[in-house]
Amino acid sequence: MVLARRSFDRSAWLGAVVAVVILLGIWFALTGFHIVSEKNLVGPVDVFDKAKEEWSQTLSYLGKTMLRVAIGLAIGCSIGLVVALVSSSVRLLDRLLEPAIAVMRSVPPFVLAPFVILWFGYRPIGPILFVAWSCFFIIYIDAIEAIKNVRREWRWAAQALGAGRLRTLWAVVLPSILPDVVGGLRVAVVVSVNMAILVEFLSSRGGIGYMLIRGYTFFRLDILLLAIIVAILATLVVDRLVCLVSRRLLRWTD
Amino acid sequence: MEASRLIVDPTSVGPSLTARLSGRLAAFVAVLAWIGIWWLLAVLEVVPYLPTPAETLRQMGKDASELKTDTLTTMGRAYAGFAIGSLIGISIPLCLRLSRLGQLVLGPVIEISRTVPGITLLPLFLVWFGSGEKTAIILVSVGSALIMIPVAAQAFGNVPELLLWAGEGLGASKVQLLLRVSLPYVVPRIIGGLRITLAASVPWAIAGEFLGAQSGLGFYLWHALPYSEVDKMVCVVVLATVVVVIGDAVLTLATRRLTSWTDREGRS
Repeated sequence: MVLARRSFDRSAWLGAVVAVVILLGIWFALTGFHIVSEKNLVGPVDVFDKAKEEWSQTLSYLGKTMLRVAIGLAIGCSIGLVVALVSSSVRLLDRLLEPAIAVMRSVPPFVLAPFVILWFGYRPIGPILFVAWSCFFIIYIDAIEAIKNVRREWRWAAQALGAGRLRTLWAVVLPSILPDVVGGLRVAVVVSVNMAILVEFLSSRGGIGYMLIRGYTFFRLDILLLAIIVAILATLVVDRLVCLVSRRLLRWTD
Repeated sequence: MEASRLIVDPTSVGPSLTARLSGRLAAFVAVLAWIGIWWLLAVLEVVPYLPTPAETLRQMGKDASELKTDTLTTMGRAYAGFAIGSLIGISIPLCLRLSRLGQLVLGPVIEISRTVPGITLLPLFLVWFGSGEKTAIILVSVGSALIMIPVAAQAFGNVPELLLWAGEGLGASKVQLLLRVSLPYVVPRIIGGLRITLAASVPWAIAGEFLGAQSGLGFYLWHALPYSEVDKMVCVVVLATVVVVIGDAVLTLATRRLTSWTDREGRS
């Protein structure tokens, strides 16, 4: 089970704090003692100042990106899960879909990003669909593999008790694959942040991706680092949320 | 491990020939079907500005020599970065197994590294390493390591204690336990992660070539963007897919060799 079994207990929290303090210390030391030139790395204080100065704009950029991530993630993951579940109980569909999706999965989503702008212009639907597209494959593959591990006896038992196909899927298959799918969902979170930012690189209409491009073009490392840190923190928060919710949902498992 | 799993049943080694052939056939039909759908979408103009497969081929023919070097360049960068990155991604969790303190402090870092959106590092690397060969390979390496570290860390954490006790009982040292017991247990279990990493390495390489590189598929794509030269963009999609598929085939073959001693199903 890929679920966060070793979720942050107390010693892990302590370790995390120590790790962050050490990383911050290294960063302070590298910039404070001028080991790395200011052209290559600015200190934490500069980044903090920049954050204070531009916090409202940064937050609005972050909100824009994360909203796209959230909607795309929700659409992509639910379609992936439903398609996997349905095709697992309809043999013909599975036969048709599995190789077809396997081929499409090999197309690197990155190179499709330009088409998003070509087809959808700068409307927000473009990045949302792009995020959904990338998440779909992750969840679909994960769910298909997990369904293969569902014990046949359970399905048989459900059928013997008079459950139809739909009911078996809902009451037996879905609950037993959920713990595995959470692992895929956590991967999908990071992938969707990547994809949303990538489209913003190209479209330059706001969002964390635009902030990064701005930092790069003007060689403003404080903007660059601020965008990176904000993006990592936001992803971390979403990841923790997914863990928290899934742990609530899956309290009945071991 | 139950004793029964150690006995090799000659009938259960890999899928049967017919099963493998039908799998190949299904993949082939799937490719044809997608090309058919693509052609329909383009001819009926359902999707605006989409060239037909024939037009794409013509474009490829026109730029053949340029595209050949670009594809090979990107391929080299992606595979090299993948090799470096996954080696790092496996060695870090492996070394961490040797020290409790390291595990306590670096464990959370690994947990956090899983949630780093790698693309945000691209502009930073461009500032640090300039644009070109080095940046692309470093970006792919870091991207690959970020994927492999949590996968390998988890696999190392799942090694059954029984195996470790048995090794200890036979007088193995810590390093021996790691290299002769844990590592062989872990390798077959991270192949899925390796395949994901390889598939991700090609887009990382292309992204690394977007800004300022002098060659590669990313360079070609970047210069097709301002004038929306869709034919060229579709060429890149096709060639990038081919690079992923070739890499995956080679990796699958190599790992099947590497894990031939296990009862892992050789899936095609």
